[in-house]
Amino acid sequence: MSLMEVRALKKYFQMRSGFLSKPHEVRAVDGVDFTIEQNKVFAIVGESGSGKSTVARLLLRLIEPQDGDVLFKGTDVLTLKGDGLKAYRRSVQIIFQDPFASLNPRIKVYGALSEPLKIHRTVPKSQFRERVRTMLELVGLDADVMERYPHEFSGGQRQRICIARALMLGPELVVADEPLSSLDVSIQAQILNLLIRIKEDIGLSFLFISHDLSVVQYFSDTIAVMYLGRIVETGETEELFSNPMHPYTQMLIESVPKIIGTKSNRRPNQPEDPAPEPPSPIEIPVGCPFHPRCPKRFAPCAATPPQLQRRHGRLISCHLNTSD
Amino acid sequence: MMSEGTLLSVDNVSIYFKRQGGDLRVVNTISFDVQKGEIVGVVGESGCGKSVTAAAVMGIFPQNAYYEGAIYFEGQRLSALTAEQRRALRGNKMSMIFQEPMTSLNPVLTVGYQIAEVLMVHRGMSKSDAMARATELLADVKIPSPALRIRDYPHQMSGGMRQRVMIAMAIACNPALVLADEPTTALDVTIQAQVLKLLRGIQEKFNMSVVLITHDLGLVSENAGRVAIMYAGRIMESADTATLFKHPVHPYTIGLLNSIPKGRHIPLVPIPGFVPRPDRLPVGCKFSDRCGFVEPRCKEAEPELVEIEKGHFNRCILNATASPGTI
Repeated sequence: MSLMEVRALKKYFQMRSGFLSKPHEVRAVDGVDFTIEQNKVFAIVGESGSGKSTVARLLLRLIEPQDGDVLFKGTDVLTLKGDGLKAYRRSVQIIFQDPFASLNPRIKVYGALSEPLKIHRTVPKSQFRERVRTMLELVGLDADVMERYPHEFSGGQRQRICIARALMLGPELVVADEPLSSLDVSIQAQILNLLIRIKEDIGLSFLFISHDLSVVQYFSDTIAVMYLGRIVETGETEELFSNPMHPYTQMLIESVPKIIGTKSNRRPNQPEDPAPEPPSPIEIPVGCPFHPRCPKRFAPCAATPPQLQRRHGRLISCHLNTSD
Repeated sequence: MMSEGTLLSVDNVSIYFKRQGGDLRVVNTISFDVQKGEIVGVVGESGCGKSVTAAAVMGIFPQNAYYEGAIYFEGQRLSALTAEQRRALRGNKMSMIFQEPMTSLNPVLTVGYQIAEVLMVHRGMSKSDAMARATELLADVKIPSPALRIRDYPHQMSGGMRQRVMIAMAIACNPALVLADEPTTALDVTIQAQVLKLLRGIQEKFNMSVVLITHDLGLVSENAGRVAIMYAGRIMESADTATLFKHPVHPYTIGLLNSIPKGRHIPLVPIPGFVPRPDRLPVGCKFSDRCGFVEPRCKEAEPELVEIEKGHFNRCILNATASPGTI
């Protein structure tokens, strides 16, 4: 059985642009399906406004969806209440992007890490200190940091503390929402290696959300590429990178600056982006949401939205790839 | 030392922040030149001093900062100029593109006016002429329907559009030098590619010099002709781009390159530890506490920046003997 199954998940927000203007609907997540397997890393990549962080918050029930199903080991997550929901939250934990904003500045490390134990009462109080010590060591911190405040730590150390906090209750799935993007290059690699080690040591599964394709390529087993609230392509990481099929996936991979070491690496034939205006989830184009920016668009793209279909062993939503 | 084609020369500049109990040195005797029409990349992690160096060149220091050493622009020593003369340079012959276009544009003025203001101040244009020129500049930075968008306020534009407006402002007076401080860090990757392509096109067309300040090695590799790698307020290694990325010699440069994921089966080798605060730098080589090649003598004296090959400078005692390895 899959660890988590998401079907036709939708989240629309109501937004007003001004005090008197009529509200309009922002389709942040517009019918998303995917499956996370045990002990695997499932990555969602996409640019700002693609809805990737909204998906993370929906899975954790931090916000409620309009429609759709989320099944965790076969149990319907969206109808959980009380003890059932509490148990679910022990199994699914989150690491946020900004370790400066996600630790309370007035609470010492021990307080931050023992709070989940207090709430969920998984171990007697006499064992709190020992559990905190074990987790700190797991993430590469000394036990004596327990009595210190968050401001005494660098960004990388704080992110280690946040990872330790996410692991306190022994989750099965960790949702990591851009856990590296606020860190320096040399620190990103440390944290990435730490996540890999933890995954292997305790057999965790990850939902890894990122805009950084090189990190995703390194860490994930499966990738879903999101664009304006929908998945446009999903497949095994290696296959997707070696042969991206959706024009948006191709554009994303093309756009990453690469270190090659020669001056000739300036890609002269980089396709001209027809519409420099980036996408906005407030005004999603009719037809294929990507068509105004797509270098390969043709007649049907502006008329009918393509459906996510299985092609060449992966799921892709594009009119171009439906012919075979 | 200054040759004919040198536009900017930063000569043994140290930058200090005033504070009680001794001023804090955040940049330590750095030197580099920028030739006419070239793109120089300055790479480093947060706190390495790259942005404050740009601020020194622009003359936009905070009140509590000052520098020692000399900065020459078109052969003139900048510290010898009056405040009036500096103002005449700034925005005119040298301009800056900042990281966050939302906070660097005035929210209560239209983008058209903000571009036009540069021309009214420096070129003495009338408002109507300046607005007409601003419309052309918006077209130059590939903003669709520029005659309409000129009346937009910054909040009506996306991040990529605002950064295009920043570029339009920066190039309004056809400057000789543009300092771009993390110009695309706040943008999505596909938008970053567009904005850089645009900047490159303008740079080539007008033969501008650009100092590209970034933490992104890939960005520098694709765009700069020469690169300086900064760490703890020092230049650790500098060379032309091809040499630096093919034959990096400083352990910090190698560490940075090894920290970037390059593919699924190539293991990541992070640099241990973290960037030290400027008031808690180690004795001797400033990278010695994180370096995988550290020797006892590294902790004794700080190595000098030495030219190991023509145009390739390195601040490491190991370069005299053997290359510590390649990526």
